[in-house]
Amino acid sequence: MLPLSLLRTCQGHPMLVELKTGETYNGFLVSIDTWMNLNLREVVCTSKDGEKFWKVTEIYIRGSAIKYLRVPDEIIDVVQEENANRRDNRPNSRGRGRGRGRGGGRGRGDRGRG
Amino acid sequence: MSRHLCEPFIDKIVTVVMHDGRNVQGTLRGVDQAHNLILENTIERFFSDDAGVEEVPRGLFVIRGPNVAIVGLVDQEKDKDVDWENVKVNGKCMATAARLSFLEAEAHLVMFDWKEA
Repeated sequence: MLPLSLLRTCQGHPMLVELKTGETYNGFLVSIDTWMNLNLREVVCTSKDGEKFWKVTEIYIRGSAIKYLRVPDEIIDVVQEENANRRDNRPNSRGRGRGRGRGGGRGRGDRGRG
Repeated sequence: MSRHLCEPFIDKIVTVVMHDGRNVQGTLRGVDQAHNLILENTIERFFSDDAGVEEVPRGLFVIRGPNVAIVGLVDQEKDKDVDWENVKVNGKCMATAARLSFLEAEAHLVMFDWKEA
């Protein structure tokens, strides 16, 4: 299981993000990309010492600033289910992929002749 | 393509020391090329010199690769034998672990068994 696919599954769920600076951000994950940059909604920011709190409606966090993330326990079951479903569908999708590849090669040849 | 060096640890209990000196233990569920880790049923252990080790449950954890200092396979038999409630660690030792002195860290975190991996 890949950490980034787990995080993608977390979209719409609450999570806690701690930055390298020690601040933590609690909120709902809106979106995430391959660099682990992410958007959170309805965020509560906590200072490093845990004494100050700020409410923020929406926030963007650069992936490289993150130390770790805590996500709901049940997410791992969702990911496992998704992986199992994909495994069941694989024979089908692989067949289609091969067909498309061959078609592309022929197209290029035609263009050269014209 | 070469296999990830953490792959033998997958679905096993590991201890991770992070760059800031934090110590978490959990079941390793996934890794990627950037060394991001998924840990399930994580507990965090707080060491101090005046009280025993405090364990706090942390659930499902994703640690970013650049913050990972050490990943050690836990020998559960040895781990069980450690009386964590009475383990006291002085600040200097944990600072050393945080500074990535692998030998020191390994010596103090006695439950590691590197040979098995």
